[in-house]
Amino acid sequence: MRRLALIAMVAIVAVTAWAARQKQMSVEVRDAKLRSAPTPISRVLATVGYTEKVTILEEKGDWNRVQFGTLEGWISKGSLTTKTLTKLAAGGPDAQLSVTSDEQGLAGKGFNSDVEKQFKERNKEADFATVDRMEKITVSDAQILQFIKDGKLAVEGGAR
Amino acid sequence: MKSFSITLGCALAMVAILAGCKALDVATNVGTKVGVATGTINEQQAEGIKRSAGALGKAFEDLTPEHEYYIGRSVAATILSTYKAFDQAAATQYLNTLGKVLAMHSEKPETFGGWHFMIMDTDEINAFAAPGGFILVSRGMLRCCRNEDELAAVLAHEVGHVQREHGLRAISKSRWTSAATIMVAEAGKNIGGQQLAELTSLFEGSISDVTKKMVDSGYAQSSELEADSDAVVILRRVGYNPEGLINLQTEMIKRLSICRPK
Repeated sequence: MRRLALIAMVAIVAVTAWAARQKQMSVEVRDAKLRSAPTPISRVLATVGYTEKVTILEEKGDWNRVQFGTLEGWISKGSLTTKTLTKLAAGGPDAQLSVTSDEQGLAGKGFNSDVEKQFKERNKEADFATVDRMEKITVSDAQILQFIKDGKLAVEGGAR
Repeated sequence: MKSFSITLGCALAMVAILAGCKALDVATNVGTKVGVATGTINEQQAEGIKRSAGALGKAFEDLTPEHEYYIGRSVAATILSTYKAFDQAAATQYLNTLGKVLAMHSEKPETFGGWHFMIMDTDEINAFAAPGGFILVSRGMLRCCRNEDELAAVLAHEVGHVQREHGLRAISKSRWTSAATIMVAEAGKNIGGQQLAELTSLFEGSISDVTKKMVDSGYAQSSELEADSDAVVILRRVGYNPEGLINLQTEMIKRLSICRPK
């Protein structure tokens, strides 16, 4: 009985230590693509939003294999940060922004939509309407794959 | 002509890089190694570049991709107040598709707000890479491109500038330090009133720093070389001929010398 309890304790400590070693990172882009393979044109399994946390399972080149909820897939290293990003409470003018818990100084402040609004008022000639139009132009994964196929492009990693 | 390198020296440097398969392999080792390996820059200069990059990283470590996005939006909006957009849906869609394929194969496949490309309605031979992934290419530049390899070279070079954050480096260190100080002082509160006004002035100054560097003075040759070496890597990953980069630069020099007053 005593031996069983000891084994259970050792197991708990081992699991806890393993869990602690699991590196977590936060998504630092608005929409990070969780892909089926470590290539930019592999299938998209899900989109992971800004500030969401993922567990790093493996590193390979420019990619990390991650766990996000029940899903496992690959996210570009450039879309992840070791800083812990936390969403601010909803309701304030900066509600859509985030803070970094290890750099409280930032606190989601700085160059944001409020500052841009003020900048627009001071610089009425700046053409934000065109920039907004730029952001609305979308290119789907299907279009990208078709473009690669039509152009007979020999992309590294190949098409999915 | 400030963003895209057109200096003869730079073009010759790329000729050296692109001369032969062995040299091309060297070129894929991004960064200062390229310059050293090809004799474009010496070890001492390479160390200097590394040191300044490190110092930059320290000074700007509070700068987040979200900040970069807002800076990029305003820089692009400022440039577009001078160069109007060329609204041709099919051409714009094509440019965005090609640009995104290239950007997806860069070291920064995703930016905070995504990669976006637009054509500027001007005969000037120009391309600009605003922080965060807002890339503007002139009709004059498009006319220089005789095939898709060359157009891909233009876009890959601009993607290189964004992934290396060359635009952000133009922001005066003291300006960013002041902005960071306000953010720290106002941590946990909603910035308003005087702080917001101060921050907006610092933002305005930052936009001016970046825009002047991109439009007026141009990047340092070392930055252009970095963007060129990144372009070679991206072009190879996607399957375009990296020689498109040097062919394009040769064409640009030819066209610009025709336009230059005797």
